[in-house]
Amino acid sequence: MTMKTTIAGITFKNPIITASGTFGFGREYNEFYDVGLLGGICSKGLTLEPRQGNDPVRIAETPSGLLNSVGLQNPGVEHFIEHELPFMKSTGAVVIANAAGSTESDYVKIAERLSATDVDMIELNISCPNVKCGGMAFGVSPDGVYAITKAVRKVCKKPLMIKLTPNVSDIAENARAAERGGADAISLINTVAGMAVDYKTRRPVLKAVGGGLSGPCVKPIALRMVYAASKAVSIPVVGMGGVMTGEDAAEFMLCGASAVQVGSANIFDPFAALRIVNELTKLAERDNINDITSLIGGLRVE
Amino acid sequence: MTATKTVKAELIISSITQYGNVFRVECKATEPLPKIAAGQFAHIKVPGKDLRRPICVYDNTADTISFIIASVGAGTAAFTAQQAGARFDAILPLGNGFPILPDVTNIAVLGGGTGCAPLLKIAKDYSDLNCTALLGFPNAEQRKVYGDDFDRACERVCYCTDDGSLGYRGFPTDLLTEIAPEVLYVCGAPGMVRTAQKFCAARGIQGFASMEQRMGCGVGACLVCTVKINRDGRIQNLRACADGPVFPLEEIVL
Repeated sequence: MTMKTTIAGITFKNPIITASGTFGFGREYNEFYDVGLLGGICSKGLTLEPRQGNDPVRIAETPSGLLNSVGLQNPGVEHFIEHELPFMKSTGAVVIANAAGSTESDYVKIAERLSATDVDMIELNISCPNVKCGGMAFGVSPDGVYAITKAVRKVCKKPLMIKLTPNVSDIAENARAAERGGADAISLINTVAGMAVDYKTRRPVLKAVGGGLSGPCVKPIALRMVYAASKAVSIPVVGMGGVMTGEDAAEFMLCGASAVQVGSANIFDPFAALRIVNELTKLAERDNINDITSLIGGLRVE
Repeated sequence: MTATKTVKAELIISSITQYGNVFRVECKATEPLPKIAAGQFAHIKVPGKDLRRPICVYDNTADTISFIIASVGAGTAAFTAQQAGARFDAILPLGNGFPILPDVTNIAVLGGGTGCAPLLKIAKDYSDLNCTALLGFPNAEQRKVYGDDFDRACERVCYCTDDGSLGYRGFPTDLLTEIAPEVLYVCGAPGMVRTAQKFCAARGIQGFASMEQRMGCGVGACLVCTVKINRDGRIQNLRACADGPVFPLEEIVL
């Protein structure tokens, strides 16, 4: 039996990847288990310069999920390359650098910089809902997705994955725009724009007012969008949104995902991503799935 | 980073006692607990909730652990609605505890309400220190959750109440000058921390405060629980969970 999956020529030992922003650079979770047992690790969203992020409160609990408004706090790409990347590479998991910016020039520069390192893949975050100019300007319209993908593609020497926002009118159009722009893969969904209100204080819970919703509550939205996007493109799709169990991961694969990312589950339980790898492996054994990739796009629709 | 290994501990509630909206939760661990330092916390699973709740460790032995929990929201309400015998898991110990400085004998702990909870272990774990506790409550009733724990662990305890129903009438910070500790440990409302900060700065003594912020992962990865800290000449957003929750008083930006 094999759990391996391949995206843009990169082989993952299993289809479970930790989602950007929920796993730091892997160090904290490596204290709980060997993070090299995971298929891949996405870095915290990186920008050219260090960012302090938004003021707290940055998190709100919702029914079956959470809202966050971290605002891309990160130590900057140079710090990442010098201090975090060597550790990430040493784990044995596929290393995906998540890159964000405010302008096309930011994205081009950071992709150039990361291309000169040994990251395995670049995930372009053109859909952060938590910062002004957090790439959402590029991520919302198909034209914007096409333009930024094309500009980055020109300089990017690594497999390029475009992370799509669900806050759009037609996800299939945006998926096609990324493919047309030269993406090697797409990942979705980023968080759903939302907010939480404290009636007693008559204030928003998050200092930034709005935030990004994630967790099991967004899974139905994510499944539908992964299904629609994977029908629209021929490049690999990485699915995410509320994956809590091995069976959730299998559902995303049936909808067309070649791999899945685990985000909020890491925040709920530090052992979650490894547990999901083990659950998916047991599921495959139980159901005589000799090759986990046989699940990809296997949804039976009458 | 703590020297001891952080684990997911299986805990069973042995008793849960209510004092107004504050609960004293005594638990048994199914396996021996790792060493826990004063000021460290546990990230506890709450029934029906995905997000854990960070709760400081009030007291513990090798196989028992207790928490003081105010029911202030949906999570703490769901947790404290549990009965003796209920099982839950907790990631522990997390965060950095209160540092004990060398060559110091006279210390004071300054706490308000449930903020007194992380301070008891300082006095208990370092019984050779001469520890004065300055503990503030709205009224005598609110103190009862602690029983006589502080009286037994500390050299001296000054209870302070807003209404004068117990001990000194007024803020515990009023008594700082009289006590004149060599090191001060604080956990309480921002006003208390601010007063303690001024006191320590004026006297040139060291102080440490445990800070609170809404938390996500609890292990340092998600960058949700940031506290503004003035360190290395600049104001930084540091993580309450992994860089704190205890920070030097002079670095805290309120």
